[in-house]
Amino acid sequence: MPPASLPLAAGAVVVSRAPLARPGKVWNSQGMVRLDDIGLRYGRGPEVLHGISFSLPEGSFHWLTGPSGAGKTSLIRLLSLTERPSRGTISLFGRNPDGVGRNARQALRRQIGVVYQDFRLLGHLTAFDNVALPLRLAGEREAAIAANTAELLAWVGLAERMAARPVTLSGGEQQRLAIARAVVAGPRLIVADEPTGDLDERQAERLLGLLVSLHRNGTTLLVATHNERLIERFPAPRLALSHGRLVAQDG
Amino acid sequence: MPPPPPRDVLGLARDHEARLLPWLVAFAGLLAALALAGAIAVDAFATRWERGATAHLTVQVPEPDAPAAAPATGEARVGQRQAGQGQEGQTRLAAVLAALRGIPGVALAEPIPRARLLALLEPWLGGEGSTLAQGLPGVIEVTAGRTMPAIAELRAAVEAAAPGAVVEGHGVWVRRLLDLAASLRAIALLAAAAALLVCAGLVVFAVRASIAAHREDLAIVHGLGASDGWLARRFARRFGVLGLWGGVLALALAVPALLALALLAAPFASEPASVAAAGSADSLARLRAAALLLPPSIWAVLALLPAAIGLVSAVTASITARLWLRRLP
Repeated sequence: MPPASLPLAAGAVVVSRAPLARPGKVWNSQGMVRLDDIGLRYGRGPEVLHGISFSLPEGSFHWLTGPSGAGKTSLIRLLSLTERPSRGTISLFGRNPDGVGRNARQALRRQIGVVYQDFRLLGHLTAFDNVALPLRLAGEREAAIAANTAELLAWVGLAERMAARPVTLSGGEQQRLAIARAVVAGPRLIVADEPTGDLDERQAERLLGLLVSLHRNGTTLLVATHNERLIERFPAPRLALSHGRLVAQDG
Repeated sequence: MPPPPPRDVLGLARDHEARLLPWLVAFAGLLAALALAGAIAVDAFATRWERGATAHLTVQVPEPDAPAAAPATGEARVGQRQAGQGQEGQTRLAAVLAALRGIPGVALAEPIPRARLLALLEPWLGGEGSTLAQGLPGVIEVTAGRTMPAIAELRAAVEAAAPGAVVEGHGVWVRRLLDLAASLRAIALLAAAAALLVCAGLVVFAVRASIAAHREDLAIVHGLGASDGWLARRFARRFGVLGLWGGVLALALAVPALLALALLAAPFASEPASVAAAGSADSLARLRAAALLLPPSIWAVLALLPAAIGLVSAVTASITARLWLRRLP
């Protein structure tokens, strides 16, 4: 449930939402996300991630940091199941996504909300339909989809832009739309790749506020950034990457 | 008020290239329709030929007006006695007719009048036919009842009544004709299958082009957790509809083509009503006669053609999309 104190855009309406509500924070020592000696190479190219091992407890919030080219986006792609590791094993929610069938892998994907650096919105759909898509893929009834989507668009301050195409929205609006789409189906894990990349400080803090509010409701959160001011503003353990290796892990 | 759910989540309907597909499918579908109609027509003609051949035969009686000779053998005498023939002063033609009419299973045995024989020979003999008339054999048309008697039995009876008379069973040439019909039917069915394969091939190319145009959107929706089946169904629905339209266009092209062919064939029809209607000045009557001339199963198959092409297109699109989607992680 988004808290009423959420720093939203002016005019945003905050209402409670059942899909996002989770029971209190649960720190599962087993780790809902576990990577064990992961390596990744694209095609026959050099390995871009080397021997990455860590686990994220359920309901935790971690920053993923590192300079450009450190492998943050590659790690996000692995966790969003967009890539398969060239070595090592991944465990998501207690299952190995590379050891299950395609339908089961897609079912795992639907439990992960991804915020891409470049938003990856569908240009031919309206803002409403972009956000509603994960619910439609999950087979929700149209009435529930309409209610949840409208509520979430209001939560991110886009209630008045439901029928707008992404191309007509500003960068900040597109980013909020991407976040709304990532969280609408109540995912267990949210991974965000530089979600505030092109935004000013004020907008970036607002967007991080949206994500952190979800974490407070029990969603596991991993956010890649190199914005140190944002990390100071929202303190959390960090995974630091350098040259494709995990060089620091605190928390 | 939220907008209604989008009918086309992947934006496939925006592909302008795919709008050509119904027309391309229509031409392949037209070939399939004509080939299927040809197969059905050949099948109908073959059945008609077979039925006619087994129900009819002809008997040639040399020297038909000569007096029938007394049977030379005991077997022939029995044959004549069974037929109630062999009377004094009877011609050979009459003796054979009487013998045939006495055989169970023969429904009708009628001599072909000499004038009709001469008319049949006129194209070959010209005016000379009448001078040769004296040398012509008598010809008897025999029509069977429910089942034709054994040809050996007929030959024995005819030989007994008029030695030298010949029974023409038509069996050999009908068998050859049926073999030819079977080959034509097989070729026509192969041509129809090839045309449907061409339809499927066109759909494969169109789906691949569509996938290439929507690669990014597909990756996004797949990344949101859409299953291969869900995505493949979008392609199946889109290209199934396009294929259906192609089938409807094929039907619209095939019906006039088949009616035109039937109109051309009407004068050669065996049904007098069709021949008469074909010569009628009333074009509606001519069309109706032509439509009736074609076997009804042709119209049934044509009516199913759009749905069949739509189904082939949908299944092909689904398989093509699934094969591509397997490349995604």
